[in-house]
Amino acid sequence: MVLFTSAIVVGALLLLGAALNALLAKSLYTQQSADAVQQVKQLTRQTELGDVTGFDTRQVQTKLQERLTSGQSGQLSFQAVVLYGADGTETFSNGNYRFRHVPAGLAERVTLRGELAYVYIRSPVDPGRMLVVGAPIRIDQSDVGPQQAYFFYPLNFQEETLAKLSNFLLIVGAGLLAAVVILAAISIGRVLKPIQRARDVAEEIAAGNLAARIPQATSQDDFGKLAESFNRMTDNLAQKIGELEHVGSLQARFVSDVSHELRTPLATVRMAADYIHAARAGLPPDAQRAAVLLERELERFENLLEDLLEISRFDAGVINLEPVEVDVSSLLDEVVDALDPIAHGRKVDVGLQVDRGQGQPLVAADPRRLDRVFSNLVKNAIEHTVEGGVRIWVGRRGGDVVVTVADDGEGIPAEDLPHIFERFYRADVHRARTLGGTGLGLAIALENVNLHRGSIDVQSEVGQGSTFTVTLPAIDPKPEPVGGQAVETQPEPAPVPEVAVGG
Amino acid sequence: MKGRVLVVDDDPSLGEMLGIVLRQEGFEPVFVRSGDQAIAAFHQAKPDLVLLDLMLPGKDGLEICRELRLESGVPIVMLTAKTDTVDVVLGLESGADDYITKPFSAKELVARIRARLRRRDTDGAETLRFHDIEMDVMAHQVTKDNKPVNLTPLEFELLATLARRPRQVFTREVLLEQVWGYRYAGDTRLVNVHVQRLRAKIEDDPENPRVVQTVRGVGYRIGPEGGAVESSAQAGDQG
Repeated sequence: MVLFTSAIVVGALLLLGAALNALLAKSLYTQQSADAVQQVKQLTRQTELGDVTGFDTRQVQTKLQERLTSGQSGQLSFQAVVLYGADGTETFSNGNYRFRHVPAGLAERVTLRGELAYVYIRSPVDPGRMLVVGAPIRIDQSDVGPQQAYFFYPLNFQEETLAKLSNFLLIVGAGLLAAVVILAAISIGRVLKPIQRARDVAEEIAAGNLAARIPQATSQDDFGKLAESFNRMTDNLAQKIGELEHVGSLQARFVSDVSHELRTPLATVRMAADYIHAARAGLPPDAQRAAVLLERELERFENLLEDLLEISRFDAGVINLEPVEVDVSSLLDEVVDALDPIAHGRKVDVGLQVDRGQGQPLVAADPRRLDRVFSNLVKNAIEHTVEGGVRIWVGRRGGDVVVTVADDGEGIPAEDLPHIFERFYRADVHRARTLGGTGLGLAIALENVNLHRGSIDVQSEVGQGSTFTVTLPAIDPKPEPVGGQAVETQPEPAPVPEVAVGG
Repeated sequence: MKGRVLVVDDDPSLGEMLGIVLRQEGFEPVFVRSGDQAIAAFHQAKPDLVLLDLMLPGKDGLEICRELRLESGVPIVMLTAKTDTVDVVLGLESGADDYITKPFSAKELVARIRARLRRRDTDGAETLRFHDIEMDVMAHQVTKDNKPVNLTPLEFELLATLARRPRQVFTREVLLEQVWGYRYAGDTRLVNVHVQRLRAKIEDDPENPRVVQTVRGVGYRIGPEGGAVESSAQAGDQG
């Protein structure tokens, strides 16, 4: 940026310098030639010679020479003068110059046209250039024939002046350039700094801090206005987001309230159903069956309510994860044990393979939530397996603990795969729901896995079964507590920092 | 087992149904529908256990809990529709011994009530001594520095369970089973909150407990007496 500006400035200075130089040179030389012509005219005017009546040729010639050389002492002085007669003889020469030094063109103009003329030449004798002014001289009252006088004016002064001027321009230019560069750097800094600050603030906002604002610039320039607009925009944005969040939290709150309000009547119904169910032996057969259905469906209803409440908590973002160290392999062991009656009832083999080759499968987690995730996956796998078994694998892969749950079920059609983690999505609406799933199981599993900063994935092909893969960030085992050092006075176990879910 | 149960609940249907279940199980239920009358009803009925709904018109469940605890160690089981962390913990901190979340089955309810009314058989005069504490298990009395300390039956049970096997570390799950009577996993917050309440009564400095110590990542135990760990700390703590 600074470089670019400097290049422009250097270019402009060079152009300006050259133009100034040319202009000055021209006016200097014009001035010089005009002055010289003036002087020559005056010196060669016949009347200046005075009365020469009665003078002989020699006397006239001498007087003329005196007259011409008198101009040499003036302010504008020529270095030499040459007199040249019409007869082709050099009648006078002073200084180092001779008639042969006069350019032919000039001599021709003076001789043939009889006019005053001048020309610039590179001096053949001295260094530098010279102005040569030629003028015809006619002395009427004498028998002295027409002559030409050539005056050699040195241009040293002009050239020196020009050289000085060039140097001066160069110095001024360099100074100007330096000043411009410094000023540019400063002003660019002044422009860029607020922009950088604005960028930092924008990034802060992008990172989620809606309270971030550009410090109010006092200036009323464009940047001040930009900062103002930017801040106003952020205000509006924050307000809109706040409103949306409010609506969202109201809705989540509503679901939560409904779930809570349902619980009291449900408690009565539950106890009543239990009571009738327990006393069903004395009822007529249809009433007995009704009691059984009531009891069973109530169970489903309660599960659904629990799941709804759970989902509403996720939606409201009120879940605080209080993670502890969990060995996923032993957790899976318990899950498999707990589901053994169901697996046994459906004659499905459930195999658990623990791979400790890359370390212990330890994670920082809420064991109850993880239990839910894996219970749900294993239960689903058992439910979907018509013939064959369920294979569970757990082990570490790099920084993760990976659990796969594979079944020999009918598989999930490709068009359903992207949706199975959606709420109430049923891959197969015709399938018997003998295990009483709520339709929220996988959605809750996904939320729970996300809560633990993990991921859940599914691979499936119709006829090939399905494989669910859960990946959770692994932790390294703590060193074993030794002796009395293990005793601490903190009442709560909190080996890993708390993680809160955003709304 | 005969026991009088005071049911504090504003929902008439739930109250009636609770009555049916309790009577069937051999308890003697007494009802009060408003929080404001709960304390008076308690004085009148002198129940063996209080079933207390947290959400009540008038005085709320937490307030009643605190007031009851000022004068009595009677077992209190909260009925709660809220399972969100804060509500349960607040209830427990107000002095409830246990809680049960609506909806619950008759079996669950009865199991919770029985667990709280159960008295452990003790083989004659059993006295536990540790630190500056003496527990007369038969008489359910505790002294610290020969001064009586008022523990609720649950707190007494918790301390006695730990003290019978000093220096053994009890996990929260084991304590839930032995003290609260949970056969399956219970809520470990029950243990955390009651350990804190117990410490407030028996520790010189509850913030820096010496009697009931936390073993991080495992559970609780009665700390060793006069060990190197304590002697230095005790010197500073006790003044």
